[in-house]
Amino acid sequence: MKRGRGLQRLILGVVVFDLLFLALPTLVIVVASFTAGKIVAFPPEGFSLRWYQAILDKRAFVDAFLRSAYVATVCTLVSLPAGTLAALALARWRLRHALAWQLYLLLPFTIPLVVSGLGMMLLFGRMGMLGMLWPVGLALTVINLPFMIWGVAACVNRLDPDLENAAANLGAPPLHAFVTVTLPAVMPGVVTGGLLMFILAFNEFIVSLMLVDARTVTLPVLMYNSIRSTITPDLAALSVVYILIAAVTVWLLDRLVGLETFLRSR
Amino acid sequence: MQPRDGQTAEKAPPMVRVEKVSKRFDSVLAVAEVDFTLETGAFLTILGPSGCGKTTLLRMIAGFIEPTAGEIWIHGRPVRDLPPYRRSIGMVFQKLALFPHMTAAQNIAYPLRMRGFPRDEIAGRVERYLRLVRLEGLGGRRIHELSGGQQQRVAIARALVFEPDLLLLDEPLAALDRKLRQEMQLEFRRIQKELGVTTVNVTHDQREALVMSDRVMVMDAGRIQQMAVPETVYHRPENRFVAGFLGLTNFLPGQLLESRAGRARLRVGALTLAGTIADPSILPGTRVEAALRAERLRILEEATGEGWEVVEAEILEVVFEGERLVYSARAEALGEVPLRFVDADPLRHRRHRPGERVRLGWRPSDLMIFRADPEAPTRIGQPEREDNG
Ligand SMILES: Nc1ncnc2c1ncn2[C@@H]1O[C@H](COP(=O)(O)OP(=O)(O)OP(=O)(O)O)[C@@H](O)[C@H]1O
Ligand SMILES: [Mg+2]
Repeated sequence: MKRGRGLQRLILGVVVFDLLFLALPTLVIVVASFTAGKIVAFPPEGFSLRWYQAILDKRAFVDAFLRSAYVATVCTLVSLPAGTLAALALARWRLRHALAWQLYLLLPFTIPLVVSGLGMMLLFGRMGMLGMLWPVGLALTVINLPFMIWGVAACVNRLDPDLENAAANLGAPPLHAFVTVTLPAVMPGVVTGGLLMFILAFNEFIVSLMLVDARTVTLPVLMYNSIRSTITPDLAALSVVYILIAAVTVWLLDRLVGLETFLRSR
Repeated sequence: MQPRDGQTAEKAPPMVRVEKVSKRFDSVLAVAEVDFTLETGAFLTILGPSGCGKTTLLRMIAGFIEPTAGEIWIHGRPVRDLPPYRRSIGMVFQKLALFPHMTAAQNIAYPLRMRGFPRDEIAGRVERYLRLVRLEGLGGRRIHELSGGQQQRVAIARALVFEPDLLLLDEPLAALDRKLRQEMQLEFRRIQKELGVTTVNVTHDQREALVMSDRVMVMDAGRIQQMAVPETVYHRPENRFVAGFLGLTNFLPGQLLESRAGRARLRVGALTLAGTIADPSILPGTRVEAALRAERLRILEEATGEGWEVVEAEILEVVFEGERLVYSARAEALGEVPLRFVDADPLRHRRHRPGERVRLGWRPSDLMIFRADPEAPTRIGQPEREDNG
């Protein structure tokens, strides 16, 4: 019993340390964003919301934010059907060379993002699509699709493989069975994957950097460009915007799927 | 039925006719020339060891897989080209396959919705079937909010609510604990009788098969070994496999000496024993096995009664099973094979200790002689464990 106590304390200590360690950079940025001074500093000088006002006033930031939202939306809309169907196909049909397919679909993970970005830059250049915004969303779909597939696959693999047979047995033709049984049953995975795709696309930097120009710059790229000149507290305020978006996503996930389900599926 | 067009009266076709159906998966012959008919309202239980092809047979009837050979008829109509969703067969799956994103009531309503029933009739029927399976008031629960036994009943209600011609049960009770399972067996029987639906039930629990069915079909290695009413299958098994699969059975290896009109004599070890024989084609000199059920064998305390076969034996082991004791003993005259027998009333009888010598007796009519199983020489003499778990 005594030893159990000691172990518990140790675990508690490690957990507290981990939590602090994980949260510290975020906390520092959040606190710093409320500075009244002209440079990013910790601890901040005084307290004000002036830098939040500043990012709202700066047209470039707002536009870049909207572009990022657009890109993330395109990416999510494309990956929802693509990833869901791919995951279902992999799990349900005894595909010939299923393993090869799986590897193929995971390919984007095995290649450095810089290389993927370069490839797409060349491809989009050839097709005359550089400088357009929606192809960026498409590119982000390609590099992040494995996340979507995983999200759905985790859900499909937990399902009873007889679910569709049951639907057929109860009188549902195949398409009906798919719409009324298969799809709703994997919905938690679809929602999880979709939110993940959205947030990943919203944050994506490397590939975007290679595909956007001054007119189509997205928020992470714009931030990077700003950092290269001067680090002003408005960047800290922008970071807080990102934290908020992540928080909203997690909240949505909890409302739609239940965090418990999500965490259990990992 | 009235004779039509001057022809003889035509009998209604059987509910199910399975005609020489086989299914091969690559190298495995999962179902081999299975052939039987099932009259309307009957309750058939398919009993057999794991991998003998029970599920495969059921899935062919439901239409999820196609037979490699043979034909299945439902209502006198071949169903080869009928997809599962047009077959009017209710099925309770081994793992239930309830729809996780729906409530209990929505699950039960599903087949009615697929058939385009009007809304208020759906509601009425769902209520009625919830009551039938004793789940009144729980219709609004999600599946994961129900206990295993309750989920079971939702699956049963869902398979029955559209009044299918045929109900298929693929070991739906296997996952339940013993007590709940026995309750559900009786419940099932009650519902089935109440609705009169033709039912095919699959299990590897022999007790369930005997309790629930009008007819039992014993399968092994894809083939029907015997199909009959439960009493017949238990008391008059047709072959060694069936004799060994049901009950706790001792097997004595020996050689047939003579056989006439269902009675026979065989040599076991140093003894010549009398018994019954069902298969008249077994010739004297053939290697045979005599099956003796554990409950037909007993200790004789007094002088020999008329008509008892008696051997001397030494008790090896006593196992307490609650309502009964299971002994194992060695009778030197019958060879090294341990004999198992039961004392069904242990409180009234003296308990015998290992090492004690006793006289064991049985009636010749209880000794059933079968052709020895050529494929399983190692099994000879080893009584199979009874499965009550
Ligand atoms: N889809 C399949 N592909 C290949 N072989 C199969 C397939 N389905 C079943 N089999 C084989 O067919 C045989 C019969 O299987 P089946 O599932 O019908 O057995 P069962 O009697 O239902 O067993 P259990 O009591 O374990 O459920 C087994 O040897 C099994 O391995
Ligand atoms: Mg099975």
